[in-house]
Amino acid sequence: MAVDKVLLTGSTTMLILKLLEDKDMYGYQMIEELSKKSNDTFNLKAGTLYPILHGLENEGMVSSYDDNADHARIRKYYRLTSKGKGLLLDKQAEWTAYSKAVNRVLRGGASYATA
Amino acid sequence: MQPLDGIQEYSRCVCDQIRWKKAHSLISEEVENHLVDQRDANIADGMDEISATHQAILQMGDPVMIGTQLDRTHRPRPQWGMILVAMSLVIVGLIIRMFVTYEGNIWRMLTQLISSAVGLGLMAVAYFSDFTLIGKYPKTIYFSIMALSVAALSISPIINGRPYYAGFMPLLFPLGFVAIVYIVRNKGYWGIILCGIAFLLPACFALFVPAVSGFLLFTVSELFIITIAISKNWFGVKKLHGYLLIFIPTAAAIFLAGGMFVGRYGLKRLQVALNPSIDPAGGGYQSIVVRNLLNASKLFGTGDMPAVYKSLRFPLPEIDTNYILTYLIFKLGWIAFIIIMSVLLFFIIKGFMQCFRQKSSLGLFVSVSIMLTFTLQVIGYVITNLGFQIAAPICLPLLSYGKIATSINLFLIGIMLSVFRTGDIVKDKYQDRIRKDNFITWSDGKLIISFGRK
Repeated sequence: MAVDKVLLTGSTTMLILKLLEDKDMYGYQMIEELSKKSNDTFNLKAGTLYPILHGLENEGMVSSYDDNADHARIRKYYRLTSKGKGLLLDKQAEWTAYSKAVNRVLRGGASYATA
Repeated sequence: MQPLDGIQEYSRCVCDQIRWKKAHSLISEEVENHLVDQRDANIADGMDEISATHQAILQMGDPVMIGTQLDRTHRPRPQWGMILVAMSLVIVGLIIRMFVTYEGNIWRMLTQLISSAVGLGLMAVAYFSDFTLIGKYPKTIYFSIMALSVAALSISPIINGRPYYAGFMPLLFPLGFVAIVYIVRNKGYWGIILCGIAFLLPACFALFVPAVSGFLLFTVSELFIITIAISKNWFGVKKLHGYLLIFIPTAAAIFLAGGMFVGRYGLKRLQVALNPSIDPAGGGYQSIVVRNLLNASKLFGTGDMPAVYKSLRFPLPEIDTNYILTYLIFKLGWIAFIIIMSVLLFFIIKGFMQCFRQKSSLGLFVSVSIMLTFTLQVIGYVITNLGFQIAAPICLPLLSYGKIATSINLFLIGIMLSVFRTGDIVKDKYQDRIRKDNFITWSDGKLIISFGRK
């Protein structure tokens, strides 16, 4: 099921960092992997991905290197740095708090939502 | 339009939005790779090549929007803070020498003003230059530095029994050395041996001059750089074997040099450096004077001149060249030393932090070599000015008197700041890693020593 793009926008950075937590990937691979892992729910555009990736690299959250892992062509792989791992934890905590709050409201504000 | 033309046209349109032209090749390569991957996937899904390419471009999104967003990310990083610190040190150095040590020597002051202006000009040129030229023409850089050193040796006036200009050339040696390190990537143990050969030529030059401080500076820098390179798997060898290949010959060289060339003289020099009172009228004299002056110094204000030196204007020679810190501590108090060292320490710490943020190994090697050159000069100068003189210091970078040293140091700082400014978009050329062979193997009754040369 495709979701409203606005919903994806706020969590894109977290999803990208989460993908890189498991293994180093290149841009196209990330889009494919995200789509696969989310049952085609998240179809990230390359035009959205690269500015975010380059921004994260500038901030030291990810680092990049060239590799020819599949012997097809040399690609730019991204790797999560320790600083990026810290950001991922923060983003995950933020997301958990946010989703709990949304769920609480959707359930009419009942206190058992957080129990 | 051919499919590939469409992909290139798209990446060109993305790059047109990015004002920093040096970033274009990096971005276009990644964008084109992505489009080719997407196109191939579309073809695998049954599309023909033209439709597959068209679809890939549509899936990528608006090139103008992507380019505009990437333009915000890809900008040079101006190094105004570091430039300001370097310029401030030059100006403070001039002021200190003008008001504290020169006492009316206008000509000496004028030549210092001119050389500082030349040095700042060199720093500006280097700052806006392309430091990757070091990686493109490494042998030219290395041999140009050697040729310049030989030229300096041949035209140099002899001062205190040494060719004066040649004594400053070791400041350039670490830079020439990293150029060679850069080209021996993945060359295995043979690469490390080549680095050793590249070390020997300048090292012999420094010993021939003789420039003991320059030799020590270059040797320590070389060891640091090669250690960093091995730790980054630059040569494609087992790290422990790499370290052993460096440090065993180094230890052997120190032992041999100590025994054969330096002998008792070197040992005595070291003993005098640590305890100058064993040779108070000879090699230990100046260190004793320094220690006496420091003991008489205060935290604020001028110290009490020991009675034995009261008849002298100041009991140390070449104050603005070799003893500017001792002089300032005595005349202005330890507070002057604390302030100067704080600024230098800030520059050093900030510099090294930026070095280790570099994405490319070339950027890392070049900037580390320059920071080491700067830091080791400071260390050498400070220990001399605190009464432990092993060898005559080269200079206190940017602060002490020295036309050539100031110009070279500012030029090197300019190159380093160029790395910090543009290093984000520099990447090392991709090379397949070599297969890791054992250094020593036994096969078919033969002992094989592999230097990893391919």
